Amino acid sequence: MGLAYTNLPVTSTLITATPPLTFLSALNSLLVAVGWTRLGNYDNGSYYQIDSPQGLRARVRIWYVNTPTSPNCFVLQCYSHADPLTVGLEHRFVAGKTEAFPGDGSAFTTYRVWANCCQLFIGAAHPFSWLETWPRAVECGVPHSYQATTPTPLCTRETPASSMTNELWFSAGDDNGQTFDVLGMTGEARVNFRNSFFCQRYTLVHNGNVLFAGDTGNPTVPVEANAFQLDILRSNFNWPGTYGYFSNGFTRPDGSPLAYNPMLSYQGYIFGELWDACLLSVPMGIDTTEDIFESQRGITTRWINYARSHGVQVGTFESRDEGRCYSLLLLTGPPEQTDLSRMNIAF
Amino acid sequence: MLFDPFYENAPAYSGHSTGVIEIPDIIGVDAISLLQMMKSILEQAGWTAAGNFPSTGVQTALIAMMPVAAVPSVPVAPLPHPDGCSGSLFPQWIQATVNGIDYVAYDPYKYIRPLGCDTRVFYPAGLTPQETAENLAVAISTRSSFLVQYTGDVATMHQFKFTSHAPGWEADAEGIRMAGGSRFTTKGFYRLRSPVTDEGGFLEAKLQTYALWGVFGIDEDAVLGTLTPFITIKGSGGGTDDGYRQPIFNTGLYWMCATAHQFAIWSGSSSALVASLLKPDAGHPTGANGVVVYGSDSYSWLGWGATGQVTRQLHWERSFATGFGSGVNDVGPRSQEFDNNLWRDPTVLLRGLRGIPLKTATTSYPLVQSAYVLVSGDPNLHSEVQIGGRMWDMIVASDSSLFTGLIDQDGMALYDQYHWMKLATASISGDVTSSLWIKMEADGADALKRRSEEGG
Repeated sequence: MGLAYTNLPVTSTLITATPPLTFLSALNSLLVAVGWTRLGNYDNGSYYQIDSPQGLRARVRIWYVNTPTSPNCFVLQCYSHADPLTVGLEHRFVAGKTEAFPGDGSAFTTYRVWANCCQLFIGAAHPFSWLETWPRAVECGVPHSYQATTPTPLCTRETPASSMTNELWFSAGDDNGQTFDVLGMTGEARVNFRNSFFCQRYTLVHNGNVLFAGDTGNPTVPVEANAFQLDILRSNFNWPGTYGYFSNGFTRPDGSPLAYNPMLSYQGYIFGELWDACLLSVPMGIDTTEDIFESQRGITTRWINYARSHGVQVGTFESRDEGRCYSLLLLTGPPEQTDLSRMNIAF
Repeated sequence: MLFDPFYENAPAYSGHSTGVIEIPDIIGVDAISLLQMMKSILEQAGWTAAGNFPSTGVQTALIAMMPVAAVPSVPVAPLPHPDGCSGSLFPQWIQATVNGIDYVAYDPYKYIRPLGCDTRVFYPAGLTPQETAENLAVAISTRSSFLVQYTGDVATMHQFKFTSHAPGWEADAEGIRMAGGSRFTTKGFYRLRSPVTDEGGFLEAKLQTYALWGVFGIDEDAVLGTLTPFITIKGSGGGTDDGYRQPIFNTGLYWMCATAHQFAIWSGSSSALVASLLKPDAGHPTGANGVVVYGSDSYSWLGWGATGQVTRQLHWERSFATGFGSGVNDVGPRSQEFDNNLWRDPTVLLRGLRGIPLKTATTSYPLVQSAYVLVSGDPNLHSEVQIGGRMWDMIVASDSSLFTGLIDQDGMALYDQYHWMKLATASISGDVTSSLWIKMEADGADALKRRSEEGG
């Protein structure tokens, strides 16, 4: 099974979060450049149509708000192309954060933005701790579907057609949906793909059905499938993170990790995988890049790690440290010019 | 820069598997037949002889009870033996019984030696107990499956050593009895060596017998205990001196499957064992192979095994050996340690969920994955795990049940044009839901040709 490549342009860049409307303008230019269709204005921002190479479609709107309960925030919201009343959660992310005190490591002024024709990953360019009270990451898109997206002759003989996907999109972020003030949100930011393989607050829509739009809180033990998640490689054996000698990822004896498909599942069902992305079986620094050489085709690709690998608390006294055993790499293109349409670098 | 890091999703097909072979009850309950079957299956997979040693035993006889002949002062013509082949004998007149044959001393100055008895061998008594002991040893050596040596006296006892004429364990089921000592010969072995991998590693399996005496484990001299097949696994890269050791209790039905670099033997309820020189990913070998050996029974003096482990679990916290560089480091249940830190527990690397199966949305099939194994660098020390490679002809399914839907008309699991048999299931609370399967079909010329055409 190869990785799902759009074979279309991708971008990974830094955009200054302020002034806000300048950020939105720069983001708009970037999104249009990678194939998003701007449909018009939405508030002070824009709304877009995104189309996956499989012909699946969704809409995304991004704008800026500055209210007492949501001060100085961008908002991203996905909704259905076929039924615009089917909307996802609003995910806020702050328009930068100034230092609260000298040396405040949580301050940031810049967002790392990665996008392709149908996915957007935004995260503060920010080295500090993984959970705080300011929302500063959001992800959305139309994944590659493992179900057929166009009817096959077999499907058309069935009523209704089964095993078909005509709509699939998700959105997630670390916004917890609570009000916030100058001290940040009430409560902690939510786990999302910027810092975990789980998403706690997300929207997932399949074939017009809102499978989930809300906040699952912590994944529960022993059933951890209640959260939208990346299906990372993990040890079959229970790995409580409270013990020492915990392995930081999985490598071969020569030190090389495994790269594999970023499958997405919800309630135990694998719906598809992220486009132009792969998982690594080791943690990498956030926003660090890695080149991958594929000897059979002699192609080198460059990737950037979106995930700040970290364990996740699954109970009051229990964590799952598999979060320390992966990275989420997003394709940024070849180090030198390469025809991506010729790439099928996995397997 | 990462070079070819990609996950090998396809099963590591060996191309020379024997397939799953059923060892029926009638063989599985007989220690020698079971060993012979195991040896034969390994040889089918290309394993070759790398040594053997005949079984041995020890016995004693009371010096005071050893008959002696008396030279008559006047020569007399010997008479026919009063008991012959069928006359009653007092037990104390029988110096040894080997494989049902009684060995009886007679006085050559008085009697004519009875010949041609079915269950009785007469041998001449000597003029001293020591001479009789020598003659007894010669008689048993001539008639039985054993070379017997009279090795001298200790206190009131003659000492004898039994060595099988056969090169290995073949005669171990033939009982031996004198005044005291081994009830049968044991410890004879065949050492089979796997073909050398591209990385230079190989496994050795020593097949032998031991007398296992309940909770007390091995009785080296087989004075007590039951004749039991026993296997020792060593790697080309060394490791723990004795390698990994485990009995395969001859309790009945087994299945076994062997390839050039791996074999598995298991049953539903008794000893199970998997030994594998893991297949490293192309472009990522370092020296010799990673090794994993895991099993379900113990020979410890406490007799505490982990019965059924292989058929229940995908991690192996007891009775396993593991290592890199083809070195086998044995960590058995003798340590009575349970470790949660994963520095010594080999386990499977897979995508799955705790609590519910991970399924495809399209078909609700479990996700079928390569059988990657995590191996500790040194299971006896704190050493982080690494990806050892893939087990041969095995797959992991992200479900503990059969591949729902991937069933052929005979109700067998079907994947990638092959049938698969379940070998192990994760069932421990906290484990990722999953199961381990082994390819049932043998690889013959047709299969090899087909895979070659497919580029596999």
